[in-house]
Amino acid sequence: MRAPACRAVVLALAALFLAPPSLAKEEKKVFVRTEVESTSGVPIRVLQIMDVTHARATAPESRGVQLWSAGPGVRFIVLWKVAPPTSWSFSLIGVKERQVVTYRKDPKLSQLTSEELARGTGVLQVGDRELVLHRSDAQAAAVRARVEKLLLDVFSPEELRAIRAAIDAVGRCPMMLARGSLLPVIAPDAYTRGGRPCTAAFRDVPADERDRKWELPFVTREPAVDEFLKADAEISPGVTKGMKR
Amino acid sequence: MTRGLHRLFVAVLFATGICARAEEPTPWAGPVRTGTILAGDVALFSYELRETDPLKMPLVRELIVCRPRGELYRIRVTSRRESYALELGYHSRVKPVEPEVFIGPVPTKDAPIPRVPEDPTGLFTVPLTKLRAGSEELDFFVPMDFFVPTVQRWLEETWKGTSRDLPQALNDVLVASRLVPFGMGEELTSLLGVAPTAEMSQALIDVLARPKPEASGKDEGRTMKSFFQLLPKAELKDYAEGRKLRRVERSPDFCSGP
Repeated sequence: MRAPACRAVVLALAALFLAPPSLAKEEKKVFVRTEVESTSGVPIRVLQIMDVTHARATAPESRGVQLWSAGPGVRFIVLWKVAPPTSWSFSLIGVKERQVVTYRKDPKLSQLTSEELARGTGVLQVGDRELVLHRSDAQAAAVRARVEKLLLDVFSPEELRAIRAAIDAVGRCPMMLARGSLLPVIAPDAYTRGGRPCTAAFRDVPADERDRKWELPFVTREPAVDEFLKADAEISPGVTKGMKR
Repeated sequence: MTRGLHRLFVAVLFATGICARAEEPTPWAGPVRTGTILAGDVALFSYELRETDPLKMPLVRELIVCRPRGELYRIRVTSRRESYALELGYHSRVKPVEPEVFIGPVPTKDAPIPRVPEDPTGLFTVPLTKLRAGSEELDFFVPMDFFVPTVQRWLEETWKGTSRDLPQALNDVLVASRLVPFGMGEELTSLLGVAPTAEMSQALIDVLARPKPEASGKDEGRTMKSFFQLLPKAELKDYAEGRKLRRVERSPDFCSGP
């Protein structure tokens, strides 16, 4: 009776010592932190923290958060989780209750046909309303009109205008910020090919200049953000070469 | 007090008069044109076509369609210089039936380009057309949005708000109007998402005559999908099999019942 038990313990210990490091202890997560702010025009500040632990060239899985501050009273969060080509989910969360816009693709979604899943079509959810749409169709007049109508159910025209202006200002500039699939749907003019040039100037925010106060309201609303903010993240530049620093 | 009541009475009478006038029957002008559209030897539909004075705007054109099983549909097009609107619904010869589908306003080639007010750069806006089918509504841009897969899906969903017979009836009229013009539908080419040119009409005929259009190239397949999904699940296979359409004089008693 005792021999098999001892053998099991020995085998378990041997497996633990011989196993690869990732199994022997908890996998170390890799976070990357980027923070940029505008140096002209509307004061825009974007903090991005990504979990790239599982990001590979062949399977670019990632999840992350962006905290956007775009002038007085204009703040929003962008949360995403991407496991291409199977599924992805992007959310834009405003300051007020109900201001949650989610665009996702998942084989479990009954609204999507297999053909639409293969094409990369997703489901846009704004409040309790849903629309099936493809990102590349976001500029079509009917799509714009319908998305606009849904967004105005949860955002005021001024809030929506301010969010779009911020996405537009950042989107036109060559910065190392994830844009995902949702932002081009919300602000279709911001990512037009051959569109207007970058007119704003951005710089990387040095680590010692971080203003942590503006992050707090987001943390209280979205617990998921807290995990990213507390992570020990490697600093990565967000402003690409050639832009003003 | 009495004077006030008198005024109210006059106002009510006046309003009643306006309402009564609005319900007056449309003053048709000219003869009622009739005919039957055949695909090979099979009757697709018979029709009665009437219109108001063509010199006066808006011009109203009404088509009563009789399907082989005796169902009656009414398609009414109200045309102005800059736009037209279309109503579609069932029809009865004994009682008025409200239309179920409304499409409009569809801008014509004479429509001015709508500009963003007070914009110095001259930005223009896209004129949207509303499709109202039963309780569903969709705003879309004719004809460009027909080629957008997302909008095709939405159009299909919107049409589901009505019975399937209605889009099929409209579809048959629109297709027949291109192949055998009979006075109604020819001006509605934009509803099929094609330019109203002779080349395009010929291309449409060629396309319809192909046995398996979906099997062709990718881009062509997309265009074909646009045709077929405008009026969803339209069964155009009969046309595609090469059966020629033709128009004959309608038999006087065909579909004459209620």
